[in-house]
Amino acid sequence: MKLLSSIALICFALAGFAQPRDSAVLQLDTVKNRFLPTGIRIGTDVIAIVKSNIQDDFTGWEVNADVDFNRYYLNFDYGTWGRNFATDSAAYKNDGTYWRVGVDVNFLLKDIDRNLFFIGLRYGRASYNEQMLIVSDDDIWGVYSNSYINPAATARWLELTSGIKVKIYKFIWLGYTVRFKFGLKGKGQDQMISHDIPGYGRTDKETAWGFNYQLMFRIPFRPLPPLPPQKKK
Amino acid sequence: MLSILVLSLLPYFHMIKRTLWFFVFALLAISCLDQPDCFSLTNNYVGLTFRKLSNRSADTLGITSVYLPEANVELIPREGTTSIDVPVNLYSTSTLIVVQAAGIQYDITVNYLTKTQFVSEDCGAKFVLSELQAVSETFDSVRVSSSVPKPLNASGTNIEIFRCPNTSLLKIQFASAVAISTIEGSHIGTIAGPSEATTTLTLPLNTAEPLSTFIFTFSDGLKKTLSVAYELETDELFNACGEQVLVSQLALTTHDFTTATLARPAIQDSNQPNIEITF
Repeated sequence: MKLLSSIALICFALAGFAQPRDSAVLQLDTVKNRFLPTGIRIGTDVIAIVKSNIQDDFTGWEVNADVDFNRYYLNFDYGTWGRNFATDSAAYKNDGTYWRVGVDVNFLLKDIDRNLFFIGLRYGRASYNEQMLIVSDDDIWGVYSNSYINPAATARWLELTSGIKVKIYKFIWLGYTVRFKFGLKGKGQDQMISHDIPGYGRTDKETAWGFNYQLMFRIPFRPLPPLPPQKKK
Repeated sequence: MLSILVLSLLPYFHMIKRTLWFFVFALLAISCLDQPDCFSLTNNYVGLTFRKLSNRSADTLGITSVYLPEANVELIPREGTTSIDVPVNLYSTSTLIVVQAAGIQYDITVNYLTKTQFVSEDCGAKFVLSELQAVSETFDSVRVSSSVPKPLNASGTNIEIFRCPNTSLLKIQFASAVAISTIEGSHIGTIAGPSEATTTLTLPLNTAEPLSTFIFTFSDGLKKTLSVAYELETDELFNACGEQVLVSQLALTTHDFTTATLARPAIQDSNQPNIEITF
């Protein structure tokens, strides 16, 4: 279901920002220093803020930044993440920080506003603590209660990302990023197996999906280089 | 009025269109945030499968019960089973399993790693067992084939338990079901017969002498005698079994049944009878 939804998202994005076929042939940008950054975009994940306010079991925020190097964008994300679940038989709590760094490649090369449809790769790391209290009742082995704590756990993973970033008004940008997370490795999970890792999410499957909905502000350093000329018919 | 509003928004049409796009994506994203499922819960069942060492085929072993002393729980498997799933202690890292089979008690202690993991608010926590080992046992031979125990009702074998071949058990086939009260022999003393009338009987031969005599007392008080002679030798068929006494060249010496014929002179670990008797 998640995979289909994500494919649908990408398809929508492509449909919304598709360019005419006759303009797909690229020409080299002859402007000097075209790999120098033109600005920095700084923003936050709106979903994390909304979830923190409407969900009792989540607290967190995330800030995002990217810098352009022609069609390549260096990305850095930093966030905090806390989960708190309580049931009749178990209570779980975690708290920590995470960061991601990686590069996006923009596929909209002739958009006048420099909107992005991108595909990228991220490396993520998290440092967190977690604790759990359980009361188990087994038909054969009876009732058992215990508490567990991982005081200094760490994790790392990789992400394939895709999404769009669109200039809404002057310096205001909106964007979303779909994340396919994989290759999770953890340390410090000595007393219990982590249920949830900040920045990554649930660990009970080999891979995980993530979604960010970003409100961003762009601070320009220098004028944008001119677009490559349109192909003449 | 409406037309004025539309006209006034025209300069911002592009911006409004893009904003609407984002609302669509946001709705799609919310639909992706599914809740966790209660799947793959505690895996504290160890699958024991019984096999013959001679050909690794399934073996019934004649299991009558499996006892877990720490929980004081006795499991009664179905008759003739060749495998059983045993729930090990999910709160510990070791479990003693006592198996009663064909009147013999076997013990096996398994060690494993136990960790807990929170699953969801609906499911609570689960225990995850791994690195299963058989650290001590009184079976003939044991092999851990899968070190990760399984959840309830899952298929698969974790530990294969092999039985050395029976090299000195005599199998008797009666033409019709007989009710035997006792069986007497110099090397076995007097033992009770089967609880119900039977057509087959398995008896241990005297491995100290090349001759065994059995006196059968039937439920009506009638007594019958059967004597067999054979050759004995010692050999190591399998490393796990060590040296075993092998019986060969079986022969009928005396009997007072109506007829008794030698069907197979070799003692084999199979269900084929050695002697067929007409009562």
